[in-house]
Amino acid sequence: MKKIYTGLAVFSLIAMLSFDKTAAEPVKSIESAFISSLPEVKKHKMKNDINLLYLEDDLPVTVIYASISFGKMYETAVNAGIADVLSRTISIAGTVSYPGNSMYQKLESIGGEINISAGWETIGIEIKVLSKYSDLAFNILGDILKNPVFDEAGAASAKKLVLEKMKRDKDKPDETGVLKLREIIFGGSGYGAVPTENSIGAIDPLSLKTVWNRYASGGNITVAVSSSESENEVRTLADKEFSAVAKGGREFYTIDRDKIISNLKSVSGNIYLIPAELEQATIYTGTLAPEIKYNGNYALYMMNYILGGGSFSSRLMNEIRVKRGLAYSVYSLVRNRRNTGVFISFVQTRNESAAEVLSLIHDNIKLISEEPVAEEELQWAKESVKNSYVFRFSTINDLLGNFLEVEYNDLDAGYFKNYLDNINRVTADDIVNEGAKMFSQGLVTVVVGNRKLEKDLSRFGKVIICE
Amino acid sequence: MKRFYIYITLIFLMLSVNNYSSEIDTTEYFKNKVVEKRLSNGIVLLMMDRGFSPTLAFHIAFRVGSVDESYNTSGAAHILEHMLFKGTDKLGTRDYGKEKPIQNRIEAVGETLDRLRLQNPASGEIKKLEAELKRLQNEQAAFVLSSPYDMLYTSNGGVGFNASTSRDMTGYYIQLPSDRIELWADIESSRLKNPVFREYYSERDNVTEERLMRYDSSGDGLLQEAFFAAAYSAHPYRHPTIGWESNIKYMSVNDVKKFYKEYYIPSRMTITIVGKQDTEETYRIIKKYFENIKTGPEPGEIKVIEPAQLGEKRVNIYFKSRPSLMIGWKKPTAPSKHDYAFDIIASSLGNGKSSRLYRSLVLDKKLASTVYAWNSSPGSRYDNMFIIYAAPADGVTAETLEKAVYAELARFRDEVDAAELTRVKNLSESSFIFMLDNNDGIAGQLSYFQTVFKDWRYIADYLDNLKKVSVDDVKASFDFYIRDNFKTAAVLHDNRSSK
Repeated sequence: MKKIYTGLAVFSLIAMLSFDKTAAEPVKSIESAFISSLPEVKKHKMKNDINLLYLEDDLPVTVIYASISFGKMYETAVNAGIADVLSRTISIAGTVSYPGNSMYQKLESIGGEINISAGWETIGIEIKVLSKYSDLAFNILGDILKNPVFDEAGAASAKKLVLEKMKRDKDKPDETGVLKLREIIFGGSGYGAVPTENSIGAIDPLSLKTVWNRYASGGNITVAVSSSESENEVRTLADKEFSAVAKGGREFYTIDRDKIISNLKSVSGNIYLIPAELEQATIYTGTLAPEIKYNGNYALYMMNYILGGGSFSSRLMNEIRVKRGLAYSVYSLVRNRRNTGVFISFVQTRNESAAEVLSLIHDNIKLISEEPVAEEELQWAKESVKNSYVFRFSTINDLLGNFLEVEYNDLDAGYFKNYLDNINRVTADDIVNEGAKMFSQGLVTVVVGNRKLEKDLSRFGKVIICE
Repeated sequence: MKRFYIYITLIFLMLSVNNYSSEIDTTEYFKNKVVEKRLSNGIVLLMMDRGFSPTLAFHIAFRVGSVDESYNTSGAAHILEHMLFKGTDKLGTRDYGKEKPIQNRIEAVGETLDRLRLQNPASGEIKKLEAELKRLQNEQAAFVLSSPYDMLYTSNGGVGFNASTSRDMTGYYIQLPSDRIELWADIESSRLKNPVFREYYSERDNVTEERLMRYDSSGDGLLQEAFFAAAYSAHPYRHPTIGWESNIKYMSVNDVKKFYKEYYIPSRMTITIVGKQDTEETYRIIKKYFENIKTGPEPGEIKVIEPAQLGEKRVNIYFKSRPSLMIGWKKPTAPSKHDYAFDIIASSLGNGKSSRLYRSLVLDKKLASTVYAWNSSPGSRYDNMFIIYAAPADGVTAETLEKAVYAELARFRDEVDAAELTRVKNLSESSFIFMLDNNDGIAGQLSYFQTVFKDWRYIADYLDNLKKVSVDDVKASFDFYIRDNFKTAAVLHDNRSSK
C-alpha cells in the first residue's frame, strides 16, 4: 500500500506541474551539452610520479590541493588516530623553512588560507591565495611535502588536541553513535578504527615520520591546482617546488571483506544501546556497502535516494518526520570508497518514540529490499539525479574535486560522462536485487538513549548495553 | 532550517580592504554586476549574471525574525518558516474543496486542546479531543500530498532547497538549472500568496525535536541560549530563535497565521537571483509572478530598548558536557564606526591559526582546545555583541581560561598596530574574492545586506569605511566597550565532575 501511495503522490505532483501550473514551459535537459562543454582539466605526470591536475580560473585566485593517499581508512586498532595526529602535527610544528606557526602567519598576513586535515582515504593540504602569491603557496606546499617537522613538542600538542576532541565528541550522541556503529560493522579497523588513549599515546615522532616517508611519495600524491596563472607557469612552479619529493609507488589500504561480512553476520540484528541521560534518542542502523567500482552502485544509489537520501520526498523522511512528526533529522546514505563502503541511516527522536521509529526504519529497509519500487518513484529519483547533475560541476573546485576522485579511485576516464546513462539504466528489479544483497550481509543498530529503552528495543533484537 | 547561524560568520567575509592591489576591485565588481529593480508593490529584486555554469541560486528573504515576536509568540517566525513547506490550496492537495473543512476543524480542535492543556490539564475533554484530532488528521491525510515543493524541485534538478530563520530575518533558498526560472517563480509566488498550514501539529512536534537536538541535548546549545537570555534583560534578542520549549508546545496556529499576514509583506521582501541569466528576462518573469502580491501596512520596529547595564552579568549552567565559556560585550550595530572597529578586533583575535587567541591559548599556553571570536551577534538590526567562545583544554578550569582570555585582550589593546590591521584587512579581502566563485554565496551576501541593512551597497561602502579605521579608532572602541557595564560571561560546567 505504501508503495502505491508514494507512486500516486509523485504522479499527482507531476501532473499538477504539467497541467495545473500555467507557467512552466516544457523543460529540456541541458546536462549532456553542458558536460561536454566543461573547461578541460589538464593532467601532467611529473618525473617523480606526482599527478598534477590543472584548471584555469578567471578569478585572480590560486587554489592548490594536495591529496596524499593515507587516511583514517589505513588505521588499525593499534594505531587508530594516527592520520589525525599526523596532520595536526604538521599544522603545529610546521616545516624546516616554515617552523611552528610561521606558515600560517606568512599566509594569513597576505590574506591566504591553509588547511591540513586527515580524511578517510587521504591527507589533504589546501592552500588558497590571491594569484600574485602563487609562488609562496607552491613554496609552502613543497616544504610540507619535503620537510615536515615531526618533533616531540609538535606531536605532543597534536595528540593532546586529538584526545581533547575525542572526549568532547563523547558528549555528542551523533558522534558517539556513528563511531560505535562503524566499529561494530568493520571490526575495529579502517572505517571501524576507534582512537583510544592507548592508540594515541603510542604515537611518537618516529611513527609519524615512518608513515610520512612511506606514503608521502610521488606515486601517492596528486596535486590539483586551479589558478589564473597559465598551465606553463603552474608546471614551472610545480617542478621547482615538488620535483625533489621522492618517487614511490602507489599504496592503498586493504580490506578483508570476507572477514567483515562474517563478523557482520554474527552480530546482525543486535541493537547496541549506549545509555545517555538525554530526552532524545539517536538511532543509527548500518551495514557494509560495496567499493566504488562495483557495477551495482548505480542501483544502490537509487535505492538510497528513494529510501532516505532524497530529502523530504524519501520514504524515511516521509514516514518518520512528515507523516508522524517524530523527528527533525532523518536521512540515510551510501558511501562507496576505493576498497569498501558503508550504508547508514540516522534518526533523532524522543526516547518514547525510539521503538516506533526503529520499527519504521526496519520496515522500510525490508520493504525496499523485498518489493520493487513503483515506476513513478524510480522516475522521480532518476529525474532528480539527472537534472541536478549540473551542480556537481558548478564551480572550478567542483570540477577539480571530481577529477581527484577519478584519480584516487582509478575510475574510468568516462566515469562522469557515462554516469547519467548508468543511472538511467537502473530498473526497479536492480534496486530490489542490490538492496537485498547489501542488507542480507547483516544489519546493525546503535541507539544512544535512555537506558530504560532496553525493554522496548528488545522487540527488535538482542540488546547489548555499551557502558 | 539547517543554516540557523550562518550569519554569525558573514561579517568575517565582509572585512575587506584593498591594501594590496588585487586584480579584482570587489567594490566595483558588485556595483557593476548587481542589477537592482523595485516592483510596484515594494519587493526589491537583485540580480547578478555570472559564472560558466547554467545554474541559478535563488534567495527570498523577509525582514522578519524572532526579534519581531512577543513573549507569547517566541518561535513563531521559525514555525512559520516550516509551514511554508506545506503547500497551497492547489499544491500539496488532491482536492482542496474537500480538504479545507477538515483543515479548519483540525485547527479549531487543536486550538481548544492547547487551551485546555494550559488552563485545565486534568480535564477529561483532553483525551476526547486528542482522539478527535487524530481522527481528523487521518481523514485529511487522504487528501494531502506531503512535501510538495521538495518533490517538484528535486525532480527539476533543484539542490539546497532549504530555509533559515534568524533573529533578524527569514530566508528561503534553492539552486536550479537556469532554464527552470519560470517554474521557480510560479511555485514561490504561489507559496507566498496562498500557504495552507496543513500538518501543523505534526510539524510543531518536529520543531520540538529540532529544539531537543540543537539545544536540550547540547551543552554549547544551552550555553548560548543562557548567555543571550542573560545578556539582554528586555530586548527580544534574549529569546532563542527556535523559541522556548513551552512556546513551541503551545504555539497557536492562529498566532502563526497572524504573524505571516503581518510580516510577509512586499515591503519587507527581497528576491535575489545569482548565476547564468538574462537579467531583463528575469525581471520580466519576476514582475509577472510577484508584482501582484498584496501590500500591507508596515508593522513598525520594536519599541523595547535594552536598558543600560549596571555591571557585569554572569551566568553558570550545569550539564552533562565538558566545560566551555562565552564572554561578550554589548556594542553598537552597523553602521556605527565602533562596529567596524569590533570587526577588526574579532578578526585579529580569532580569525585563522595565526590569530592572537589561537596562538596564545591553544598553541603556546595550551589552556584551550578551541577558541573563537566574532562580532555582531545575535543579530544586526539592533545593537549587538562582540563575543569570545573558548573550550578549556583537559585539566584546565574555565576560570583559568577566562582569566587568560582577559590577559590576551589586554595584550591586544597594548600591542595592536598598523601591521596587525593590515593582516586583518588582507585576510578579509581575500575571503571576499574567494567567495566570488559561488552563486549561492554571493546571493546570500546580497540578500542578507539588503534585508538587514536595507541596502546591498553596504557591502561596497563597508570596504571604504573599513579602510578608514585606524589603530586609535580600534583602541577607542575597545576602551569604551570592553568594560563590565557591557559585559556578560556564561560558563558551562560539567555536572558529572561534581558527582
